[in-house]
Amino acid sequence: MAKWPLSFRKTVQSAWTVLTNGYMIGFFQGKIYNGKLKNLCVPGLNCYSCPGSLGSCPIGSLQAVLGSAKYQISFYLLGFFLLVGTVLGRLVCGFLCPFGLVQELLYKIPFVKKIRTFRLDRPLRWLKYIILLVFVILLPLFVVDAAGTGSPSFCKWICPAGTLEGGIPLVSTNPALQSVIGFLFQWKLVILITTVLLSILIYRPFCKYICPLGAIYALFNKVSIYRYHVDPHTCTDCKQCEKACPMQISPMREANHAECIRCGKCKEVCHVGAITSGFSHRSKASQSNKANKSKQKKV
Amino acid sequence: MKTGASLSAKFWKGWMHKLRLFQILLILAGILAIVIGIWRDEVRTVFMKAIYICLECIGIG
Repeated sequence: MAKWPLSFRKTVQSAWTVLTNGYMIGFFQGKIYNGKLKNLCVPGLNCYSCPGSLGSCPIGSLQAVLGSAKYQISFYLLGFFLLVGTVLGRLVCGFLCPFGLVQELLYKIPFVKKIRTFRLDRPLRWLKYIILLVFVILLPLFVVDAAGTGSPSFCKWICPAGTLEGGIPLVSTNPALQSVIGFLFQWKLVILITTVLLSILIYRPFCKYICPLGAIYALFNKVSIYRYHVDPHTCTDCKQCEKACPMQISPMREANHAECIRCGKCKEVCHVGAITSGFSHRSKASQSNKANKSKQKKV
Repeated sequence: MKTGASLSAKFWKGWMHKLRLFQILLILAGILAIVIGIWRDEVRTVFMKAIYICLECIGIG
């Protein structure tokens, strides 16, 4: 039997992207889905103005609620982030984010030299938290029009996912929208092209430096139920996991680092099976170690 | 006398117990916040924004 060409993670990423963007007719008609499923948010960054999108983008929704004249805080989105963040953490980034998948596919394009890290890599990782605070929370809350309504500043000025998933498919199929494009569309197109080009050179640059949703889930990575565990008794300190990590973290030092997107590359390269992951607190490695010890005692 | 390994195992167990309690607390807080959000009709704001083309999101205005 022929072997399935995709890894487990790529299969989940692709299936999730297709499943949550399954309103195919929207792509042909230049319209978006307006059914009841849009009451619910999807965990990943997925523009609700994508013609195929069946759910709502959590970052867009957060700005919509904060920007409305009626609310100053969004309990619905706060609860959503608490729930998804505590259960999954940044597993969402690695498995359930369509824009993450797009960047990973772009990184597969061969290029003379891929950039693993650079001088400003570490400080730039803090940028996503500043973007979350300024563009997603403060600007929609405090920069308001006469009616007291704020605009979704992150979606408007930064988000390349909106341009890729919503802007390009809608503008290309909707003549009414084509007639009103101007500076903002060109600006967002420049951001998208920059993101695409950088994604060929750097692994997931948007996730590393810009994504406010990744910043929210990063806050939960250390306490999430789904977690990584490195067994110190099994680990040989070969540092292969550190070299393989596309997010440039050291799983041996901090298995549940805020930057870890749970891609599993470290587990793949660990030749002694010291790294395990799952929803259980007890790692498989420590369990098998205990089993081995008890066997030795019996002998 | 307790060995270093048994002490570290005890510490690990205690830490995991605290973590589990914290996780349960966060999940309960999350569920409560979602319920309050639904009660405050925030879902309607999300829905109304999501069913019309968001011009800012797609770069029109």
